[in-house]
Amino acid sequence: MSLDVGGDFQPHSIAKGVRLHLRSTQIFKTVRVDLFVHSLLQPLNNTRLALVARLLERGTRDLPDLRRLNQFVDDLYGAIFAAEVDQFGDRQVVHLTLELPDARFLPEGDDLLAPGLEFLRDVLRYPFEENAGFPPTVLAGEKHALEQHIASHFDDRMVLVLHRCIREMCPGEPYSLCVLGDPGDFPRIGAADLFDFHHRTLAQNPIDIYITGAVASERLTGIVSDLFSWDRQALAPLPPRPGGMALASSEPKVVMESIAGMHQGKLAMGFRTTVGLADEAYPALLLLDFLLGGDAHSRLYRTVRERLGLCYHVGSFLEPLCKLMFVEAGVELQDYSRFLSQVRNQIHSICDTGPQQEELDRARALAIRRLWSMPDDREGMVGFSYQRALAGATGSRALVEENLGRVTIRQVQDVAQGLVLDTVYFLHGQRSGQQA
Amino acid sequence: MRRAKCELIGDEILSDTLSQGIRLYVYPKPGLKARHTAVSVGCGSLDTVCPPPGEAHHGIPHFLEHRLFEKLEGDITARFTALGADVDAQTSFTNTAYSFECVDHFEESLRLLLELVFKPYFTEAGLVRERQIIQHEIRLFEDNLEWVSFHTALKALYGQHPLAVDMAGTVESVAQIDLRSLEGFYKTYYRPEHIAIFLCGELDPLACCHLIQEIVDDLLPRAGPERGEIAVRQRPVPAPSTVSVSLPVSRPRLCMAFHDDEQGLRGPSLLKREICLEMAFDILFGPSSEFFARHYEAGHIQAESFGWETYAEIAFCFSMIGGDVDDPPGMMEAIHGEFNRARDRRLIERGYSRAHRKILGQLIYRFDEGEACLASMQSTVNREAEPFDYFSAHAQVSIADVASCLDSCLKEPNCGTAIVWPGDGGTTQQACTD
Repeated sequence: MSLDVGGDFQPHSIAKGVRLHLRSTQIFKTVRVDLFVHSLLQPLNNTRLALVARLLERGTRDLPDLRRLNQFVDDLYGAIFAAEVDQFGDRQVVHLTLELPDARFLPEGDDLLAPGLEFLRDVLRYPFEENAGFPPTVLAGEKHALEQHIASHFDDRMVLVLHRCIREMCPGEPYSLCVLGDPGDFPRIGAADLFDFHHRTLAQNPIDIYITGAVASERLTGIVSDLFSWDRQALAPLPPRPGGMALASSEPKVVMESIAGMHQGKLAMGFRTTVGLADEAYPALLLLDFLLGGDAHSRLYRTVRERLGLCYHVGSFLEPLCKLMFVEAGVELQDYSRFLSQVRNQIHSICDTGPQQEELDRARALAIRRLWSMPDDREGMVGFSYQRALAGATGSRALVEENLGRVTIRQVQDVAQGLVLDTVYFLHGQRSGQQA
Repeated sequence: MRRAKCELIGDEILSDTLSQGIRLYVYPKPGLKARHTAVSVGCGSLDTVCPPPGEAHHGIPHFLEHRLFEKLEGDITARFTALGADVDAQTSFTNTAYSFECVDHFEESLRLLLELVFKPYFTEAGLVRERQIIQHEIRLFEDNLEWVSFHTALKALYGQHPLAVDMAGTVESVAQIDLRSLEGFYKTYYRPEHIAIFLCGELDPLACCHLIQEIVDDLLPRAGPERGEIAVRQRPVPAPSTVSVSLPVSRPRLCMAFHDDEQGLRGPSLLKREICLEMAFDILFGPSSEFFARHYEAGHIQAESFGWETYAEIAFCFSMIGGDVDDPPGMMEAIHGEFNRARDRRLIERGYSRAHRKILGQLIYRFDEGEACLASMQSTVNREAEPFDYFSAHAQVSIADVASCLDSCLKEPNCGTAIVWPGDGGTTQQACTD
């Protein structure tokens, strides 16, 4: 049995463009598998992939309907299985997860991992088919369900506001597409061509499998190689990373809309930066985000919430693959202008004089602590590693910590000066004619 | 220290009671990088009465939770962050918990957490600011579909009982909270005998115990201050109705709440009851059920929103089921119909083994990652059980136990229903007819 390797994954090449990332550790009672099939966010394909993810939960050749598939999963001592689409910047991934209790802790010591991995392989490679296509009635049902899911997804008004801000900010860019797709694409997607699309994706697109648990490396690589090696073609080329700034004008675009019945306004501010995850200045940008609005003692929290009482929810976050930053908040219409001024004042202050040493050190302490406790959070650890791989960022967590430790006030000031407010989107519940 | 070991998962938890009466639980987890600590106080949103003279203020436990972060030197969060620790707090129906997570500086962070809880600092200016912030919080959640449907269903089942009131209170009730009521509430509830401390991570239990005793000895006065009388929690009495509200959402949301006639259970029997209710729902409506397959394939329910949850506490016990549906009355009828169909026990018998095995797996997850372990400890101890009692409770659950839920909880006379319709505001309520 391998020893814990300090939280990092051991890579193994399984087939052309198929990689296994293994983290052998004894500290958990369950084994977790994350499988990613990677694509670029593209019109029409985004909808295809969103539908495929749903169809993969509807049956396999051996478990030919929803109920039998779910019974199989439940019989694995309540294993957790999901097939979803996730977004990483301008990338869309079909993400399968499977979490299983470790055999050591089951009354009869059943090994669930081998049958679980075979199940995942069948879900991906042998989804239930009719006449060389997905079953048409099932596809029709999933189109209807996906349309409903998209509508429900945007019932969360903060999610809706961010999506609309991005759509205004990045027209024509992959990042502006909805990872759940567009129901307007449905008439162009048929059962047979979607099935072919799925198998082409399996043949061409990069696949990464992350496994975390008390697993023996040699045995596991053997099982994964047997199950996940199939005919692979040349990898579909993916375009290079976005170059960064792409502003249409020097003035931010401001969009205000209303929905009757909303109790509290929701605001999103979209900023462009020159710095992405793989760039040398990224640690400084990360700390800027922390101290601006990324943690419970950030500037925005202390000023607009605690000192001025303008809101309850306020925060900032990065989109590190696309070189963007966002501020979001729940703000009443009458406080909208004051809130905007406060955010701009805080950023200008950091641009002019930089952060105070004490607040930079606080942000750094928090960032480093979260980095070092990451191995305790399996999902977080997988997401961190995969995102860095997508960005082409090299270096261990130890190196990331070292780089965070070297960030200076001047460097934070420099990245702050590189921020440009691109778009403000505000959604409120007032009727038209009422002004902020 | 007392030791409790779970043979199945091979873990043990050590516990003790400090000289002041505070209970302590330490869950050593070798290999974890972070240490997790929570201080849990036995008051929550159900506790609204402040002595004297017995005024009721909805939202006061939550208000107090916010205010305890302010100290003479400023917001204590800054001092946690400087140590690299994440601090958080949460108010539930029955408890208020203050917690932190750290890798280094464990002792300093622990001292800070105990200072946060045991050294209140209330100011008029801070109180005025907090009213504004919490009023923003209340308005934020008025747009939240999950929150609105949850509380509306409780209103439909329990009328004006505090369970049906937002945990943060109302804009009006928060406006009435003053320094006197805040200080009175603190003195009444934040007493050692109502407090438990939980730790999880790579820890030496005995060293933790000595350290915490030393810190608490410094922070708490030898003689306890004058104590106020704790108001008895009002037992919820079901008065089922159907309440309709509207929000600007895309589809109707149905939420059905079922009152359990088996009230007042505590300890392992309460955990067993919770497992029985969860199993009943899973057998009848879970992903392996015929109901789920039929209604999902027909487009009546959505996997992302359809689900259930049981809230089993000493002060109350209810379960909820619902989701986004196009025809709420039709789905209500279908769910009640399924409970009726199950009364002959055949469905329960057929689904029992799979559901029983599934729950065992889910219990293993609850004692896996550090945060989950911390939550499981609080959830059990706050209900007068020991953390690993879940496993023995699970082993004792029989088909008859699961089936009994249909007779004493999962039936139409015990059900209050909320429907959130797409629209732009408004509420209607009608009593349930027999």
